[in-house]
Amino acid sequence: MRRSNRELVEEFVSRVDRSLKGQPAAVAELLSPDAVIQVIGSTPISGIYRGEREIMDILVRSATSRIASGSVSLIDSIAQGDRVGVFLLIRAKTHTGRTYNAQGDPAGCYFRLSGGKIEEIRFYPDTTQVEAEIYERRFVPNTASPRDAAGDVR
Amino acid sequence: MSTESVSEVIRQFFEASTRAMHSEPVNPLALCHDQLVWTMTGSTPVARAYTGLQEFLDTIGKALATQFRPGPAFGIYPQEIIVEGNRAAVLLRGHGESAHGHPYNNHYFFFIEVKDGKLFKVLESCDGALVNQSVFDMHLE
Repeated sequence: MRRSNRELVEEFVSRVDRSLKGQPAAVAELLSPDAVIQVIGSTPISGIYRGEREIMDILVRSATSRIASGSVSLIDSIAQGDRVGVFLLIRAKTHTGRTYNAQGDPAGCYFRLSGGKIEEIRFYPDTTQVEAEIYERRFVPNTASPRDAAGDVR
Repeated sequence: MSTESVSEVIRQFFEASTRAMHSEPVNPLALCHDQLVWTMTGSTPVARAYTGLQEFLDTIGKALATQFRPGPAFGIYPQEIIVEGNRAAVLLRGHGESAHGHPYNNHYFFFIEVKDGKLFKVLESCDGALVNQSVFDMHLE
């Protein structure tokens, strides 16, 4: 029986989770050969990756050069037609022992599917954590202290 | 509510938000439920849950008024609205400038639950690093 688009996304997330745990998962099987993945923001892994080669050779290679292991699970999903929006719980350990998303925040992700394959993914990670934990960079105030700046809205 | 109604109230909210930043006499928060819960995910100084319309108005409402430059360039534009029941996943692009004069062109992803024809529960994900750099005037080292 053919799986629904929501079930395909659930299977994709499950396979990515197995892959992050170092298990064989054949994640690319669920992607269209022309799939496009966008990671939002301006972090070192942000960008638009078109097709299996860019996805595997640039995005996945960039991520695994910093991330040693991790986990991803689906928290909630909303599906309509060929589109599925999800919130994911993602945690990762870097090769240097830093933890991405220790606080357990959800991250948004959008999927568009066609013919039983994923055509498009737009991923909304915690870009502050990507910079600070995965790439070990610091946010430094240009003028005032971060506490002063944060105080504007607290 | 129908799929179209859920989608429409969400479109109206973001359109009103854009018009309010153009100094037009509209109140986007009139489209929010009194018991609104708006959760901003991530690690920015504003990331937390805001419970009740009044708390949202007192904090984020004031912040929007002081941390961004209002004007015709400001805009929030829905790209995709995926509706299932009374909930929607919403992808948006924003365009604007922070009070510090930095570009603020963010990407947003929301889950929005609509109740009584108004936004009731909102879960927001966006580019937090941009928030830190543009709105809170920081740079990366």
